[in-house]
Formats: sequence, C-alpha cells, structure tokens
Amino acid sequence: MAELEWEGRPEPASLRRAIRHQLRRLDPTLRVMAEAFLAEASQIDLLAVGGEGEIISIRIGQDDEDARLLTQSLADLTWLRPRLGDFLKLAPGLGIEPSAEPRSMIFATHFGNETRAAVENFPSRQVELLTYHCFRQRGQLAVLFESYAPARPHSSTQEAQASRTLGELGNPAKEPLLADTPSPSSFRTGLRESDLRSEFEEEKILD
Amino acid sequence: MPRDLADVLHYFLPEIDGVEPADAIVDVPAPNPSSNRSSIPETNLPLPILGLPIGDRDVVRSALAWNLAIETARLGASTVIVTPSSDHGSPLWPEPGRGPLGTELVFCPATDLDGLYKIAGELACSRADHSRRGGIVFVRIPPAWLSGGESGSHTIRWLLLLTSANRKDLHEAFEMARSLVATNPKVEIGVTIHGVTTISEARNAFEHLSRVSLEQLGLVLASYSLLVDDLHVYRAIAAQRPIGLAHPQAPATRALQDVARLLYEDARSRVLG
Repeated sequence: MAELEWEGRPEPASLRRAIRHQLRRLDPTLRVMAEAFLAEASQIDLLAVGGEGEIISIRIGQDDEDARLLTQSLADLTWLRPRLGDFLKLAPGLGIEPSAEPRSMIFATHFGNETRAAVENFPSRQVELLTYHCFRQRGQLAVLFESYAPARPHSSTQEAQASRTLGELGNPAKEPLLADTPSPSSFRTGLRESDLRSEFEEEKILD
Repeated sequence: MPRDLADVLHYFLPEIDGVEPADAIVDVPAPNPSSNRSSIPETNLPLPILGLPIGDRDVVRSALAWNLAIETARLGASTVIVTPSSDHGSPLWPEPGRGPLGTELVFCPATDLDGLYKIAGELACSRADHSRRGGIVFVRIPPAWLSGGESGSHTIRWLLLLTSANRKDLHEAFEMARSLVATNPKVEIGVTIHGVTTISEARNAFEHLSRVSLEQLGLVLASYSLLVDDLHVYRAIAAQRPIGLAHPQAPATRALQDVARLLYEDARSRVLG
C-alpha cells in the first residue's frame, strides 16, 4: 500500500475499466454485459445484469456532473423498460428477468445536496449514488468506492421494519454491498488476509 | 520425558493466576439459596458470564467454544465452561475438570436457564477470588431454553452468537436475537462469523446481520471477528485436542486467538466498569 498515489481525473475508458473491475470484486452477482452502450441520446457507461436478473444502467462522471448523470440515469430507466424483452431475445443466456424493474447506479466523486434529495423520492436501490476515489498502485488505476445511501425512516419504526425482509438475510453476495447504510456496529478483527492462509498456501504464493 | 507439546507448554506461556490443584469437578451441587454474593469479598468482582447458544448435537460450535476458552486462558485469563449435565457423555465436550491451560469444564445439574445462570454466577464469584487478571465464564445454553420467553432469559447480560455466513444460519441468529431481546432488551449480543475463508466474507455477513438487527430490533450487535473454515478445526475436533496446541501455526488458531483477544478485552472492560 506504500505505493498508492491519488489520481485526479483519469481517462474515461480507464476509469470505466477500473470501476468494472472493482464491481466484479465487490458484487460477484453483477455481470457487466456492455460498455458505452448507446441509449436514448447518450452512452450508458456500463450496462449490467444484477443478481435478480434486473438490468442496471451504470453512469460514471466527475464531481460537477451529478445532476446531469441523474437525469441521464432516469432517462435510461425509461428507455430500458420497454426493451427488456428485446434484451432477453438477443442474449437469453444472461439471465435477464423481464419482470424485474431496471435500476441505476451513478458513480461520481461528489454528489450535491439537490441530487441526494432528489434520489430520496425513489424506492430503495432503484437509483443508487456511489462516490469513488481514484488512485494509482504500481502504475495501475484503481478505485475505492464510498457509498451514499439516502435517508430513510428511523430504525425502530414499523416503516423501517417493513422496508427490509428477512429474505435478504444471509446472502451477502446478493446484497447491494456498496450502497447499504453503514452499520453503526463495525466489524472488528485483528486478522489480515495473509493470516487466513496456511503455510502451504503461503509457499505456493512465494513460489 | 515430555511426550506432548502440552507437557512443556507451560515453559512458553504466561503464568495463569490462581491455578488450583487439578480437581475434576463433575457435578456442581445445586446452589444453596443462602449462599449469595454477600459471602464473596467485595474487592473481587465476579467474572463476566458469556452465554453461548449451542445445540445438543452441535459438535462444531461446542468445539469452537472450548477452544475459545483455551485461547482466552492463554492470554492469562481464568476460564470456565459451564454446561448442563445432560451433556455428560455426549461428544460435545471432553472429560470434565481442569484441562489445557487451566480451562475448566463443569457440568451442572440445571434444567433451565435460571438454574444454569445461578450456578454460573456462583462460579463467576468463586473464581474471581483467584483470578487477578480476570477471566470469563462461558455458559453453553441449549437454544430451546432461549425461545418462547423462557424464564431466566432476563438474567443473560452478554451473549455470543456463533453463526456461519450462510443464509439459514444468519436467519437463525437473527431469530435468536429477536427472541432474546423481546424478553431482555438490555442484553448485549456479540457475533462471531465462523466457517469463512476470507475476511470480506465475514465482514459482509456481520454488517448485514448488524444492519437488519438495528433496523428491525433497534439492537446494536458487537463484532467478535471470525473463525475460519480450516481442516485443522475438524481434525482437532475429531481428536478432541485444542487446535491451538495441535496446530499452533494454523489459520484456525490465529482466528481463535483474535476472537479470544476481543472477548478478553471486553471482559476486562466490563469488570472495570
């Protein structure tokens, strides 16, 4: 980690690749099926299929572009909805579920208050705002995600109880890992990944 | 001549405070109602009692609990495991009495939660006299005793749920927490995710359970790290040998030591108030 350097404004294609790579690591159920996919009037940066077969429009921008990205994402949802059957015919092996509502993920380095407030009008997860930070590690562009989740009713209310079902439990891979509300009780461990490898595995890595 | 690592281990480990002669305590007599905490010197606070819901045939969780107690003892703590005497002769536990690193296994004749905690409370007080560095009384709670508003659940103050990261186990852990909080809103519940292969797997599972517990129960869970899915765990269980002694360099041992450290730190902070 000593070789990390912050990266200001990376070239769009590199940024797209880095975000795609990081998404694959954090949510293995999400499969990117197209890059720079032309929608109504502009290109969707990444078009993906989620774990429940829903189509996901992924828009990527910089800090002053959040309002434009939100508008484009909403237009994407309108554009995608009547075309789900076409996607299914074109790519039946992708697991697209035509009855699943399309959703949108917007990546930017910063979101203004108006954009955040606007997103609160939509059902949970339909439009997700995610901030990212770019850096270089040994010359490779990499991104770190930092989630933003819209304000929701307070936890102890019945509304909040109804908002989540137990069916969501226990399948972290299917969870919206990047945009969930941060837990107030943080995960504690003094272990590192290398502590979980046996000597035999360590030797294999060294070889 | 030493035949086993355990025979020479005391040369390398910190001294355990107040080690008494190895007297195997098979059955603790039922608590005498007249003997209460007033007979215990006030300067020695009772050891914290940590409840562990473990099923009657759950050999894996009981082995993890036993190994956690041993690893906590390795840190200098005084550790006791209390379990209903109905477990006697079952494959859940080794022979009762004082075992590796002074960890004590006690079968008690309790038939309900009240009885179990009364005996655990007595042991917590009596062992505190000999434990300058504190310790933990681990109590195996049959899960059935926690459900259905069983009397005595209000006596539980600190509970550790050992759950895997899979959907069914997390659901069971959540339901157990829900059931307990309904009768005992002040209970402090910790979670250790076991059977994982990566830290992120455990982190995701814990954060999810924690979030849902907060949203649905208003309950803040404490994290106690993770335990790994390691062949050494099962080998040690089959041999009824402590993992830390049989495989000191194994990932399973490192993980057990990490969980034990967190438990011991929290136990000490409790005693200190």
